Amino acid sequence: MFGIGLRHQHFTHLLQTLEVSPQSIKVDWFEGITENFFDTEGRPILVLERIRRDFPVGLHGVSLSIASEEEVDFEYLAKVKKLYDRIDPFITSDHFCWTGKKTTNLHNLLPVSYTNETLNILIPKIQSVQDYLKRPLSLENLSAYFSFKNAEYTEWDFLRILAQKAGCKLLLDLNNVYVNSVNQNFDPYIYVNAIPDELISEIHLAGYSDMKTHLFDTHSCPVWPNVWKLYKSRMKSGLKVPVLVEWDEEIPEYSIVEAEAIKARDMLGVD
Amino acid sequence: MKNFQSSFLSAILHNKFDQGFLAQIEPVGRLTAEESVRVYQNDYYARMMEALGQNYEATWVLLGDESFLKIGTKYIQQHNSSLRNLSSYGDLFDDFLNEEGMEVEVVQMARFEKAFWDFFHRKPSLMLNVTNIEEAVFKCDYFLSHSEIRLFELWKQRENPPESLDEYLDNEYLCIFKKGSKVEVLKVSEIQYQILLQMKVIGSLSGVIAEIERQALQPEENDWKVALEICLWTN
Repeated sequence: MFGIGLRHQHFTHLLQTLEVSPQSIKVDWFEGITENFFDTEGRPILVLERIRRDFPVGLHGVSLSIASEEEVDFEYLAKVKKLYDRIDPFITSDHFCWTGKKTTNLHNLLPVSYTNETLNILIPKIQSVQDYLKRPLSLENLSAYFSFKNAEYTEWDFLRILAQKAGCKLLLDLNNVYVNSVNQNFDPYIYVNAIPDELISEIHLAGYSDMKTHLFDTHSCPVWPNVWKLYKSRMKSGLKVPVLVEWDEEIPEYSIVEAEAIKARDMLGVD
Repeated sequence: MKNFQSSFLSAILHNKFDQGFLAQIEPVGRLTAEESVRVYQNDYYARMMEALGQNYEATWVLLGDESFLKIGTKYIQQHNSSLRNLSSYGDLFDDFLNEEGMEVEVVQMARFEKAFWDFFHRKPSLMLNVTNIEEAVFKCDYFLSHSEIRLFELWKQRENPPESLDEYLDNEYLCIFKKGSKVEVLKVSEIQYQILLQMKVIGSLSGVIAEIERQALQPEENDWKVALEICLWTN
């Protein structure tokens, strides 16, 4: 299944297309940002419900903050669960990161150190979230602009061990892997091949910006050739999971974003 | 983990970069440890400013880029977000602009925009079916605005703002409410505005009729009709 991130800039186009010629929508599914829909009873949730009538929908969170040193925020999770119950998403996810503290959310995806201490803190937290939501948690690897000197694992080993021990899944963002591989000087192919198929729930693709001093994960342009190459290579194993293209800044018209998802499908020779 | 996260927040929010904290960081690319944290700091301010700008788009236009960025930065510095989504970030921005001595039309536009987005996120309303309308009690869930500048016209022009505000100087009475699934911004007359204002205070039509008579106002039939329809949609 090949989809795109659902953004409000495309709401009007999608609503009109759904009424006039729904068959002209060429993607298989849409993914919404969880937090954009759980505090509204207005147009955003009405549009999501309309799309859900004709398409599978995934929900992707940005504020679980699973790697925060604070306890799991069950007040937040209750809103997430209520939205899941309302939309019945076929896939759900968030990020392997922290975003701040309960009273101070930086609204950014922040890295943690890959140590045994972190593993011991995260495993029970992930399990408690899964127990509460009654579904497996899927966590996305992120782009990070620093790592930690006290790291005891590589990012890929850490994520694999974490997923195996906590019983969660990984949303493998290939753009993030590539950005980190350039910024942190490692081989992205070693990374993606170290994550076994059975732990991967979904693939994300997006575009980055070259800041000259580092690559920056902006989601502001098409997927870069090196990321497509990494995608093609990783999917060779026969991995069959939903694939999604994200575009979050300088968002172009719908057809351009959709074309990226079609490209992801065509690259694998899938009808 | 706890110490690092506290130090990180302190760096982002209060610009405190202590050496012990930076020594734990392995920067990426050609960045130093401090520069790598500043990537997040810059992103934080850009993200919060973007949210503020989306919620107060026309206020930004009225203030101009330089003033909006200056006062927006000050607001962000004083108002951390405890939200999980940014759609309502800046809910105190209108009052903040007032406290900072901004011009009255800027504050009024901020209040207009805040109310608009508040209604935008509310559930669709249904028109109330009332048998005894004079005795019915109304919730009057609408927002009233009176300004000496045509806010609604300016707001509609926010993507192509006028060079001068002179042609927009005029008394304007507005009522914002949810009509079905849409946000309705209705221009009302001064007397309709007075009726709606009294409806909010008193809640019943019979009470408002008495108050309007006491004030010796003389609304026409259509004024009552307009006000009543709004009340029926906003219950």
